[in-house]
Amino acid sequence: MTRRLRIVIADDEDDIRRGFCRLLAILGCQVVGEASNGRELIELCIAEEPDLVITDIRMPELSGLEAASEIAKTTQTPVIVVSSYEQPSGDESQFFVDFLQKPVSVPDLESAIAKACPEI
Amino acid sequence: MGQMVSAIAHESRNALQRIQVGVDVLQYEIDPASEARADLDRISRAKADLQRLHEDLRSVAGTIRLSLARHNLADVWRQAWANLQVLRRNRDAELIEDIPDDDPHCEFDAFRVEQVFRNLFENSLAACGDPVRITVTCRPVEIGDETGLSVTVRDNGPGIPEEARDRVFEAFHTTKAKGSGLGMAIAKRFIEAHDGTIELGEDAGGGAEFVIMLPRKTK
Repeated sequence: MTRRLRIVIADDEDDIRRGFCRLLAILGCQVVGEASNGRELIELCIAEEPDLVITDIRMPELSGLEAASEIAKTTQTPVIVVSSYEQPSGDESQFFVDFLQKPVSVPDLESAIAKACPEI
Repeated sequence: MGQMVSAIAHESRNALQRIQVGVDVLQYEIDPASEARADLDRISRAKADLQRLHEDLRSVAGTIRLSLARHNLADVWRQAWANLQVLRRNRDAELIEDIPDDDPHCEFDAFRVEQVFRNLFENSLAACGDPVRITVTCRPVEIGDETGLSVTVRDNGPGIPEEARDRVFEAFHTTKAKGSGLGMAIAKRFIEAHDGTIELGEDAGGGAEFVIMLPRKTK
C-alpha cells in the first residue's frame, strides 16, 4: 500500500463491527466511519468519501445492498459485501465488487481488499 | 425444514463471525510463545469444528443449489485427497487409481462432489490401520438412456459391519468414536442432487466399498 486505505464499515451487530474495525486497523487500514444501518452508510460515504466500503446485507432501515445501489449513483467507491446469506445474484450483484460469506478469514478479507483497491 | 435451517444458518454464521474476528485480532496481539496463545489456538480449533458441523447440517438439511460445469472427475478426487494432507500426516496412506483412457469428464458441482470424496476418504482413513490403500476405479457406464461414469471407492480396512450396512446413509448414524454421523448422508444427498446414486458395494474380500453412478449431464 502506498497510503492507508480509508474504509467505511457497516454491520448492525456491534461486536462484528467493532471486531472488523480493530482487525482492519491491524492490517494497516484506516476505518473512517462505522454504520449500523444502510442509511448511516450512505451518509458516511457522502461525508468521508472513503476508498472502500465493507458492508453487511441485512440491516435496519436500509439494507447493505440498497445502500450500495444508492452509493453507486454518485460515486465509484468499491463495495465488498460480507454476509451470512448466500451470494446475491442478478441485478444486485452489479453494486459490489466482491462477496464474502461469514465467517470471513483474514486471508480472504485481505484478498478481497486487494482486488477491490488494487492501486492503493 | 429448509426455512428453519436457513434461519439457523444465518444466526450461527453471525455468531461464528463474532468468534472469528475476535480470534483474528487476538492472534496479532498475543505473544505466539505464550500459554494464552495456546488457549486461543484451542478456541480457534473449536470454532473450526463448530463451523464444519454447521456446514454439514446445512448440507444435509438445507437447500442445495448446484453450480454445474464440466470437470474431470479424477481432478476432483485428487483434490479431495490432497486436501486431507494433514489427516494423512505420519500415516502410510496411498490413493491408487484405476481409470479409463477415455474422457473421465462429466457435468457436476465440483465443490459438492469433492466433499463426497473427502467424506469417503476421511472414513477410510479413520477405519483403516496402516498401510491404508484406497482404490478408486472409474468406468464409463450406461445409466438408463444416458451415458455416465461409475466410480468405485474401496479401502483395505475392516469393512462395514453387517448390522450397520442398512444404516450407512442415515444422518447421525456413525460407527466412529468421533464424528457427527453426517458424512455419508451428505454424500448421498449431493450425489442424488446430480441425478446419480451412491450405494454400498460388495463386501467380499474385506474393506468398505462404495459405488457412485454419475450421469455425464445433470438434468
